[in-house]
Amino acid sequence: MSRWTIIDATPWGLALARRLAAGGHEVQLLMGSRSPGRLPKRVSRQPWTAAPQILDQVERVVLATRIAGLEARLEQLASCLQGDHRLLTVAPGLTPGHHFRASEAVLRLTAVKQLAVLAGAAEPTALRRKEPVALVVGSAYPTWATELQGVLASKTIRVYTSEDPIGVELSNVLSAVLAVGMGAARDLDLGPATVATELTRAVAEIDRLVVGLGGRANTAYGLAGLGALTTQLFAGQGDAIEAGTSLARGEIEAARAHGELVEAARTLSERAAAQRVRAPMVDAVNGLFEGRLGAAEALAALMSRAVRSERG
Amino acid sequence: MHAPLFHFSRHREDIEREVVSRVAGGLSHHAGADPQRSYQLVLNDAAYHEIHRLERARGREAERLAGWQKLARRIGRMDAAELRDEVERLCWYYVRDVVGHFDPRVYRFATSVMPVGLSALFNTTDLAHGVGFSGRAGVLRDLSKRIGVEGEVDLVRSLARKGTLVLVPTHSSNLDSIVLGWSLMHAGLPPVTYGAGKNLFTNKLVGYFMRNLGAYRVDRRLRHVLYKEVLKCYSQVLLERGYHSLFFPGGTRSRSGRVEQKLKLGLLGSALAAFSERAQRGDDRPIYVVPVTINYPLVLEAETLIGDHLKEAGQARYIIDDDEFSRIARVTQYAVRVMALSTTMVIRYGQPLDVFGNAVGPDGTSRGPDGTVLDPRRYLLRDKQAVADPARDGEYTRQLGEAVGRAFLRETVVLPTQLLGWMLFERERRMAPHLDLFALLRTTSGDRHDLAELCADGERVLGRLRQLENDGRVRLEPTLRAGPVDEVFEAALSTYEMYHVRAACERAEEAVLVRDPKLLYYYGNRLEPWAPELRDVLA
Repeated sequence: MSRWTIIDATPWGLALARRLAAGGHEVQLLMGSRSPGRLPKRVSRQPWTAAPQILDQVERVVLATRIAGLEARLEQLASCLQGDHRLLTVAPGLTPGHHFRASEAVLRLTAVKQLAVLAGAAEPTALRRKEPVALVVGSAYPTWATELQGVLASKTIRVYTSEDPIGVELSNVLSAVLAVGMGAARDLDLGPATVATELTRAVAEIDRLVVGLGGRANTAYGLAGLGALTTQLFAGQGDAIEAGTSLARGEIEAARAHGELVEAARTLSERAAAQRVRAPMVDAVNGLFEGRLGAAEALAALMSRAVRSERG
Repeated sequence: MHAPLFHFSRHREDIEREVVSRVAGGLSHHAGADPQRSYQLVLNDAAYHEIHRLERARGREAERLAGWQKLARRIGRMDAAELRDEVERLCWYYVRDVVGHFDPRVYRFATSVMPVGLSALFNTTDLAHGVGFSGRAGVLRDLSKRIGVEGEVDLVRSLARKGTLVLVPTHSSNLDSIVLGWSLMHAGLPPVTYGAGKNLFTNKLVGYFMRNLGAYRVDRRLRHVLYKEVLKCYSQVLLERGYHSLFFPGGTRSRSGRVEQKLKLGLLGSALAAFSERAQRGDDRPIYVVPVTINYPLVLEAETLIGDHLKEAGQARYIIDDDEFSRIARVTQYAVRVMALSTTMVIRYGQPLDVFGNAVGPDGTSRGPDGTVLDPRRYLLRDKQAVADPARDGEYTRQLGEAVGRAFLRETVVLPTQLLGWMLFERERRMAPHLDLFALLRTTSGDRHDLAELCADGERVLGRLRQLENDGRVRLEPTLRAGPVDEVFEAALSTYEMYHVRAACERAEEAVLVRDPKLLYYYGNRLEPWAPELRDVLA
């Protein structure tokens, strides 16, 4: 059994703390003063002041901090993180400061190199309800990825590995941005064929962007891309779907309250343009957030584009 | 200075023995746990590649074909002991072919003669250009006025006393190792050992100096595993024993003129492997990776290199042995003319890194991005124990390669010829956006560009480059940093006229005339990493 530190009692932090404790591992949960609710026996709650001592002893770390506070948290803990630490990040999205992916922020702000990212077609609540779900661990460090696969898997959680952490993270954030578009289309009361068209073209676009921005081909078709996108679509709720619904109804301010999605859409649209990668759907979502386009107008613009090869 | 290289000959046999023993031992697991099968595979691989190569060879080389064919027939009948003997015999053969030499007497001679020789060439040029003598000080102008050595030189000098240096320079010319060797001597840095292509040893005089100044021979024609393992192990053993080393991580000279970004991780990986091996033996001496950029206003082999880049068969000429470097008259002409240039060649030593790509502080310790002092040995631990994990180390090396690639960009010094090359070729692209690269290269010779327009554009591009330098993303040569744009272009035009058979471009009254678009493209390529931002200001 091994010792783990979880940074921040977010829903993912708590879900993973419970999963690790259920597997017999010892978990120290670094968190603020807010009550996390009832914790399993093997999970001990620790204050931030204990971080230097705990991190000096424990090599395995889950960074469960939400993306909005990730840069600040890493700056706070950078001096406690050394080369033998192995980190798992779970936050989707891009940081508000420098628009880093979570693993990118860790590499830029700390000395940690051995990183993995967790994504997939499941929310922390699904883990708690013990529904059969699947997750993907993306890491360029196979030994670390395999260890994570071993400790996180259970009778109801299948954990796959991917050697493309960049692709996994990008697929995850792009699926959230494009789910906004799916949410908007849903409110236009379109038929299943239109939704299916949108879904398949969205995944093709994620694939193209992942490759253009440093990931590998086909990662988008896995759990972090197609899986995460369909989860949001079938759930019919969540931040992205809500933002999309607001946009379809012309309630731009309500949609823009989902600031992380607004920033992600804008940043990814700009990065796609800088890399000369076609990203019409991300551009359309960005245009909706900026109020430059209405939902019907965006759909019409997408339909009037020149047609190409399906995988082109 | 008592660098380890000064004592090389005393340890040479011991090093050779260690390499043979480690390579032969390591290859016994090449194909799994069965040594017999592993050795068979290694010998078959060597025989296959050598027979394939020698069937096309001529002269004395071809005479070795029969020996390899005979070995290929015998491999299947050899028992385990015979196979091991054969592998060891080949290891000895190759290690002796590779191993360099270092003769302190030659070093002292070379270091005293080289500056005088080069300065004498310069003096001749002074006369030819009517510069004349201006008192005694003007007779032999200091070579350091023509080759600028800058950057973290003091830090590198102090690190050389604390640990082992691995210099990783950009690679544009076969002159790189020579000018870099001069810069080490000039900056009071220790000599380094490095692998040089065997083709560079064909000139007996150059070969004699290279061999006795720490260079070892790399035969790039040999593609089989056994030879590659000997080379890799030799460079690693040298590092483990504290010999300061030099690798060109780009592998070969940049054909396009661009700063290398695709680096050979095998060579960089030997630094980590050596560090790891040392750590396991309790040897705490650090290994420092020092990115170096070598920035030439004119490149000796520019015409051949860009020609090769533009050929589809570029890969086939991975080893060029008939370029300008092989023609002594051309090298002399180059040296003489470069010495007369008003602009200087710049060798810039970048921020040293540890073998994991972390920055190194003034005291030689590794530093995290926030300045935290790191113990690099902790990267090798799992559950507080040092653990061998080749996949992990491979990824560390890939990240080191990225850090070196970023340093290459940051430490590149933009020179006037490169700016003018980029500006002119960019104008050609904008004037004919429908033409592809090859059509542009074919059709633009003879085009005229109004100098006033060029200067107006140049002002804007220069402004953006200065911003980039302020942001720490590139370096500028002093004229570019502070001078007016017309002076920058004037310097570039007079430099271009100095050496190439046909100048890249030349002044024609109030215009600039394109003469050799390929050369403009080659020199301008140096600015390609920043091109999107430079194009923004021209839009």
